[in-house]
Amino acid sequence: MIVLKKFIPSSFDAVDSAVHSIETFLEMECPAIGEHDVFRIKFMIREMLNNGVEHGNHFDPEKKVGCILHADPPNLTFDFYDEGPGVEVDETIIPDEKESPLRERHRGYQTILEMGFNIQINRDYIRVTYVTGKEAN
Amino acid sequence: MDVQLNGERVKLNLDMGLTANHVADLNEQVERLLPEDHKFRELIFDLCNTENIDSVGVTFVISLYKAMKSKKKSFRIVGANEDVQSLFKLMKLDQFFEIDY
Repeated sequence: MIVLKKFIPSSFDAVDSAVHSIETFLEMECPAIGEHDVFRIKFMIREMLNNGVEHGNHFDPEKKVGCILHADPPNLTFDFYDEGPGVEVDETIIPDEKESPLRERHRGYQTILEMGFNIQINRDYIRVTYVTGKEAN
Repeated sequence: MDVQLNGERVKLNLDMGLTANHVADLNEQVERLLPEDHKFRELIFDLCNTENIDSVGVTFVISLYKAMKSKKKSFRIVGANEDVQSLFKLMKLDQFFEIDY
């Protein structure tokens, strides 16, 4: 089991740096993970951390967002944290079928699920799991 | 980002990630770089140098498409790698504009 902990200030620039850092980590520690899986993982991490920055911490530079990665290839588990009040699972996260693909918001979670990730919303963190080497839905 | 004008075609060449931390800058650049409406009929957005993307970046692309559509100009994406193309298709955006490699 390989573990990486990354906690960053609440800004999109910090998220960008963190994603590059995690990508480098995966390339070094889990070289068998294919490029398409890496792309999906980077997308997912950006979405989750961006959400924490914007909706959890409201861009407060004093607050942190974070990701703890447990890598046991092909199984990856990502736990995401922010200092906000928590996430309610309701229809605002997963849009219904009537929402247009051209909508301005609410595409992140749906896209992550369709890429093949599993999302588990807990009281204090959000857990995203993924099995590498499989085709996405 | 740089712009190329070739007849009635405008090509925007993106040289950074299509990500949340860049979108404000991209919006400013588009406003500054796009020619006047009467000078072009098609906008081509070249993503050949783009490997990183998030939903905020996708929303930027959608807003670009909507702006072009409202001005009755055509819009397409070129240079997208396999993963970026797959992402746009997953989001069903290929229904609205061409996405080429």
